[in-house]
Amino acid sequence: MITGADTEVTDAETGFLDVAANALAVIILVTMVVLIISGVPQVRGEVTEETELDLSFPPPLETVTTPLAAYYAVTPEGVTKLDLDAMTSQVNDGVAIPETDQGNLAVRVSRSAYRDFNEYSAEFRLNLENISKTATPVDTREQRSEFVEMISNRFDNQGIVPTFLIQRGSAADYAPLYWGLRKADAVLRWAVLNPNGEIRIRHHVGSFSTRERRWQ
Amino acid sequence: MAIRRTDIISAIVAFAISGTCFLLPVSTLGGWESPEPPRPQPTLKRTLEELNDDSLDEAADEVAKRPSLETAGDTCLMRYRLLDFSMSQDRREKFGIAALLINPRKKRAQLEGLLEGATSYEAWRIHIALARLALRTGDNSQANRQLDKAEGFDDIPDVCRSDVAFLRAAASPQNAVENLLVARALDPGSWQANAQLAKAIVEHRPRTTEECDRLTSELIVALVQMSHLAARDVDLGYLMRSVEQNPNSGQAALLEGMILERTGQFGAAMNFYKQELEANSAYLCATAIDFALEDRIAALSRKPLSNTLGEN
Repeated sequence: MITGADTEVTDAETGFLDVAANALAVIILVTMVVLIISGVPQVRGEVTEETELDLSFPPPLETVTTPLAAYYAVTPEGVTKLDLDAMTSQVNDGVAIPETDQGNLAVRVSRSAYRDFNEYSAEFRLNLENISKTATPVDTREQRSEFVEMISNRFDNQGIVPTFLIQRGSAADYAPLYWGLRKADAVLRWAVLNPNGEIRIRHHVGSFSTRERRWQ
Repeated sequence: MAIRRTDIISAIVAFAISGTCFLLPVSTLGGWESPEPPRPQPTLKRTLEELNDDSLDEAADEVAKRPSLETAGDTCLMRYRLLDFSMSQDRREKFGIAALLINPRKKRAQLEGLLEGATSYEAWRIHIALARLALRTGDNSQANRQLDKAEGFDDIPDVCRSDVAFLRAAASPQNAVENLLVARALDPGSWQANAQLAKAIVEHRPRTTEECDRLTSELIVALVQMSHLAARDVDLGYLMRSVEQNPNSGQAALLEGMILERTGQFGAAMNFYKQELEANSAYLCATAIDFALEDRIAALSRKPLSNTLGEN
């Protein structure tokens, strides 16, 4: 009898030990799973590298949609309108690195993009030597005012906003034109090119993390 | 080996514990929840009550904390991570090229070429892109046609249908306020929907006192929401600057005062409200605006001193 009672007590103890051990194992397992799942930080927006040129428009331009764009290169010889589409269109025909007289383009649409479908990263490498050959001079006051008038008209009639890409070292040539445009209240954006004439344009969620929207 | 009673109990207890442990965190992990159905038409009195008892702020804060929300995103896909939407890599590359192209005619041709063989999500997105492009070129009727097509798709999330209403407001300026109210209700997390709604209300000329009452309360809701979405005070500052051009609108005055309040300039807000209340002449919305201004003055007077220190 005594032996039987002992066995019963041992059974009960073993049972509770089982409960405790099983429960502990399950808790550890579940904790690990939860840690793994919830360990992915819920970042509001993504942290992105800021290697591209800042092409933000001035804040007062608060439009529902983005304005149409036009790109100009500024070299010591003057201003040249860029035909970036001539490079971009070639990507459709399967050209890996499209090239024209004005430069070449490397475009990448990342597979890992997980926001909107129109995300891209494009790198135009401008051939500034060629570009400067077709430049329109803006040295005199008349030449500048003619150019400013053309820019203002294109904005008023077609909503086209110019972007000036300045060759490194040509800031002094650009300054009089810039102030001419500012005096005429022209909406514009501008950036200084890398020394090798590169400009990187990106459209991705980072473009929207501030209200200074950048766009094509 | 015989199954003992304690084994069964142990199994049940272990199952219960594991179930609880698993379900609790999973229930809190879920992605963004679908937005609540549009609220019933608020009255100004009720909105002001909700503003004073903080329930308006709590609701706005909930929205601002939605996972993956990037409030300034121009489309629902930029604002949220919507995993249902997908596009094959080769089509995606062409879509990216369409975005990179500068000339609107080339852009349009590229987008229209993608419509063939598109899934419904893809086609929806392409129509939105075409509508945007039409708006950029000033062709409102073309934008409306593209939006009609975008409206024809089922199973599009509410936050995306918000984009259709938002663009519709731009394409049909005569119905801007109503469309923006729909856009904001479908996605209160969109900065642009709230900001454009606030601007549209300020510019709108109500025809009845009921409309004054309703739009004034919608303006308050939009501003409270924006104060929770804004990353910096200057975001609200830009909005203030854009409505300052409407000095004769009572709604603009209320908006400006509330922006001062929301950026911590309580003393300036108080002076502004008092000044507006005195200057408020007899016009259709005067009753609604005066009611709101008086309420704000009373609310500011109740504020503890510590909250009003450090203002500029």
